[in-house]
Amino acid sequence: MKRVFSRIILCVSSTFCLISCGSSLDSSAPAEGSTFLSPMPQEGGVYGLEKVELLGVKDLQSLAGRFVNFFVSPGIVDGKLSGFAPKARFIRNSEGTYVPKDDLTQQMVAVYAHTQRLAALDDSLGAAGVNTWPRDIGISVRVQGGGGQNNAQYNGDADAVLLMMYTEKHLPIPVNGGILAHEHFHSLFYKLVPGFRELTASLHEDKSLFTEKQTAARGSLLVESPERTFTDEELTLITYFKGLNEGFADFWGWMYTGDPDFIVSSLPRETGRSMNVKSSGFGVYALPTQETVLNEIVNAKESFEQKQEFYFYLSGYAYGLGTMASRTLKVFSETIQKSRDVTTITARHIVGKALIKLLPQLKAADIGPEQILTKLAQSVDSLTEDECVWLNQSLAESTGLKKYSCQKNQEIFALEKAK
Amino acid sequence: MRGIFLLVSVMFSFMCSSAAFAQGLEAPAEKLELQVFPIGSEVRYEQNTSLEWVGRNSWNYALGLQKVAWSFLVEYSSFTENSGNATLSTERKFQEAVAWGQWHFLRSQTEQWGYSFFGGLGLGGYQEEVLTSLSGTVRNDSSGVKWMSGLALGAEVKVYLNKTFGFMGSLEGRALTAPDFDSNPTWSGVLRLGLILSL
Repeated sequence: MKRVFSRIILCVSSTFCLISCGSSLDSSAPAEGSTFLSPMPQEGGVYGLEKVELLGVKDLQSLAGRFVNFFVSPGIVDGKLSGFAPKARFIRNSEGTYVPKDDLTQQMVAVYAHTQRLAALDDSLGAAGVNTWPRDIGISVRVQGGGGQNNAQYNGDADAVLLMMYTEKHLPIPVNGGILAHEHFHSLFYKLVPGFRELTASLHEDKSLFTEKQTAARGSLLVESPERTFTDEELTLITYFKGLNEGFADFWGWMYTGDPDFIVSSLPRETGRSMNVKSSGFGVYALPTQETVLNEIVNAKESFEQKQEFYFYLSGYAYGLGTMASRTLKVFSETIQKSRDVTTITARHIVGKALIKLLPQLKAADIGPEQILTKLAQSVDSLTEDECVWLNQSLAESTGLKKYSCQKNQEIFALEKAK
Repeated sequence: MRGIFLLVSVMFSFMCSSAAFAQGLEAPAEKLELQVFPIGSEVRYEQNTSLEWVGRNSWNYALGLQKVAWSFLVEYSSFTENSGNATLSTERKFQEAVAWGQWHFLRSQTEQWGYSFFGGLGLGGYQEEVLTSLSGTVRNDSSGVKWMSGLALGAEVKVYLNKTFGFMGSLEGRALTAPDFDSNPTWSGVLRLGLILSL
């Protein structure tokens, strides 16, 4: 009898070893063509559960691969995102699809899927080589002292996207393709607009992202160092570029998803940034001049006693300026769609491609509607008469002047200064 | 779910036939005991996606047979893990059935009470189901039944009301292993109370 039990014990012990040492689902790389279940948007922004193929994933545990390196609750050390890789958790269903076991893994899959699509979009729109891959992405980012929840941010110094904890009941920000595209665009703006890197460096933003002081400052546009005070002209440039960065990024989110309310899906209070507007009226296809922004800054400065409140107001003003920019680009896309009788996606991509060409041409010295809209006209491939006329109207609406006219040159129209 | 029930049935049949075999082989120095554990609480420690250790509480039900220093136990346990929010959520349902063989290496027993320290080896199967819910649409995915095994070390105490009935309680620590457990091995602790029926 003892011999029988010894054999049973030997048998079970061997099985224990075999099972524990067997190949793990966690640590193996998924086979080429493996699919993952993820909430993904359809055209227009309706989300559904889809099986998506994640390309170039090196191991299932960290979900690190060709497109993304994840960090969980990271910090920034020496200008680089630093921290541990998260541990993704899946089951594999009968069809062989990897199904996330929890919400954070679900978010990682969605972020990876969107990032690989955004990389392909970069390539197709002429922005290949602007970013380095894989992108560093922080998930479940915690800001000390609270106040950093329900937000996403691109950090230019670290060249990383930070996705804060999402605590609301709506579509979580890390699975919102529009917001991910928005943040991705910030990296393009940061690298393509001449002087923008230096301009943001002067703001002393993001140097201490994970401190309470920084948390308070995050709602504000900028933080001055004790030895530095911005002039009104500097504030005008900072506000204008911040506004353009946000507005163009909102356009990028719409271009990617087709949803003009993609922000509202996660943050219902942000209705003011909706691009779902009628194609007429002030602010729909107009941009403020530098003088308008300067006057706003001078007037606002007198209204606020506390500098921090003034900067907070300016941040809101910059977002308002950005919304004017995003709506302008959206209505211009719709004009292209009608003018060329193409799909909405094609029209959006034409404007996206033009935007990538426009960014390196933006100059701080004379930033304003004239520079932006004339350069945009030059950046659109084969500008048609209707498109040229629309840009000219937008320019006149923005500046109150009719300085330009549309000239035909070898079947292509161009916006030229009226003689 | 059907797979787990099938596994439990097979284990119970095997247990009953083993008991019959054991009774027929040798004259019992002590009686064969049927042990029923309707109340069992288990905490197992898994590492979540954020690399934090999380204790999962599961209910644990078991049926056992003990003869002298050897016992055989069939056990079922399950727990649910929820994450996400009202728009997008996941519900992970974990269930397992494991057969445990235990050797009571240090034991003392009188007609009124007894105690023992034991080590155990387990072999069984588990299944995970994930319900993914997005804006009211729910999708159900299953891992299918997979093999798992375990090692255990514990102690038990018995109190006899008479020659036939008694109560018992046990506490044990376990290392559970399977290729895709979230920490491998997964550590757990089990506390349970049960009834004894001497056969």
